[in-house]
Amino acid sequence: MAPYLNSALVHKKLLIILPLVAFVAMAFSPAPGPVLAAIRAVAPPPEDEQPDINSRLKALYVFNFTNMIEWPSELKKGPFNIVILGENKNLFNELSKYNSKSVGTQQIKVSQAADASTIQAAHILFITKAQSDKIAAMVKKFKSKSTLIVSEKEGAMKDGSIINFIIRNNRQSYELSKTNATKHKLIIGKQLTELAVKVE
Amino acid sequence: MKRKLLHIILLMTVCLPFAGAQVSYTNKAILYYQENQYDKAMEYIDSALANPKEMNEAYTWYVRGMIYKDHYKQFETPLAESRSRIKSIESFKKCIDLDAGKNEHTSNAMVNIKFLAGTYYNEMVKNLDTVNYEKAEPLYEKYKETMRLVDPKMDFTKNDKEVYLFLGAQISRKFNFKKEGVTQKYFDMAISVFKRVIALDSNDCNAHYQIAQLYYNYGVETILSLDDTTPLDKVIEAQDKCVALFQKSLPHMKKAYQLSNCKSKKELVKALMGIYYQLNEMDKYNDLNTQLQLIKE
Repeated sequence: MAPYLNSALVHKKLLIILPLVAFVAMAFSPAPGPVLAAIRAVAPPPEDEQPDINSRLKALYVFNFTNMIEWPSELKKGPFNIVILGENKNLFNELSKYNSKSVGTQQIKVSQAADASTIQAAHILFITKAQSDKIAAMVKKFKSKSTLIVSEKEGAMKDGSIINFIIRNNRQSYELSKTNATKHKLIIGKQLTELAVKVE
Repeated sequence: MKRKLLHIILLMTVCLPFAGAQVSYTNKAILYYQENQYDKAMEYIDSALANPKEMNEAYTWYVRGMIYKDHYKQFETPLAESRSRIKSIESFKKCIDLDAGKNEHTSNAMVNIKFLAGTYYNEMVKNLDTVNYEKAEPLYEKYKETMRLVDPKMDFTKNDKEVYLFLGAQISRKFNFKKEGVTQKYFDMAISVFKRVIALDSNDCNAHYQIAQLYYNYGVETILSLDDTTPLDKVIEAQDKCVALFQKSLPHMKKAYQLSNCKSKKELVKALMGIYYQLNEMDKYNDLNTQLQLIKE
């Protein structure tokens, strides 16, 4: 049998244990980034601080409406009022981001009203789901003021709503009543009509 | 004095079995090796491979393995492409093959192969970060290939899962949702890595959770990236993409929720609620909300 090199070399071989132990310890440690990211992004109940995608989308839709609808010339001065009737903190926060933006020469002003009687004038009146029973009354109140009535209740166009948010195939969509718009002296743009899931 | 004595003992140890014969290349290599003259040691041990009397000796290959191993440790660590390490592994493997039936050097050669495999493993771990992660996987494959030399039937499933989960997590951290092209590349890569974990174990809660989270976050970021300059048709287009991503997220989060062994039940219920909420499936969201109130954690 040939001689082995020396005992020191045999000892060196034992070093294998150390790095493997080091690896095992590392491999079992939790991955920090994505796990935390998940906790941040997932679970966004409406009143939570997480991003509410639906409210953001609605705000984007509403902001686009301002450029796709023609209001009568007498309403093209002063602030451009967007009023939310009812409590919707997330939607209000999202729409408020447009406060500094303009529609033509008019600066957007977003407000929220808990009581319908306090609303004096609005270019766009967004009636929350919880306030849907007031749609007909609001239509009547603002008919002569060329207010765009926006709602989020199935069948709201029968009550006089002009644009009604509905859910179709998990998507935030809208239906449109050109008849009701005409009653409010509003001219609906072609593209807004084309992108609606239903037009009356 | 001690060093001189060591040399004399070594010379006797090395030369006695070959007394009367010319000193072999192997033994010359050993002498240089002991002097830490690696170039000479490598030159002689490689010459031994051309010598018919030494080339088929397991011991020759064992010595070669040791010389190249120490050369790697001294001069080529942490060089991923170290040629000395490769030569060392090849030599120990050849030693084992030639030692079959005798088992004089096999166990030591195996220990050394495992050690060298471990160096690949450790380098892989060092590279598991957001900058060097692309180097990690080839090193891991090299580790497995080397370990299979001593145990061809070794099961790497558990290790594979851990490594891929960690690798996927690192790739996920490369995301920058503001840069669409870059995002898509890393997103696809991370999904693919986590899916490999699921291919190994369809009941891996972590992998399902990570995939669900990736799809979900991508969906959220798709909408968050829109602003007041986005025309309505593009908003609708982005929403379609977002919904498709949430729908891809859902089955994985449902599976993680069903398995419930990677996160707390409360976290998983909240995560699932988040997806249903964004998908406007409010009945399911409300059912889970009721369930959430009953969880005491």
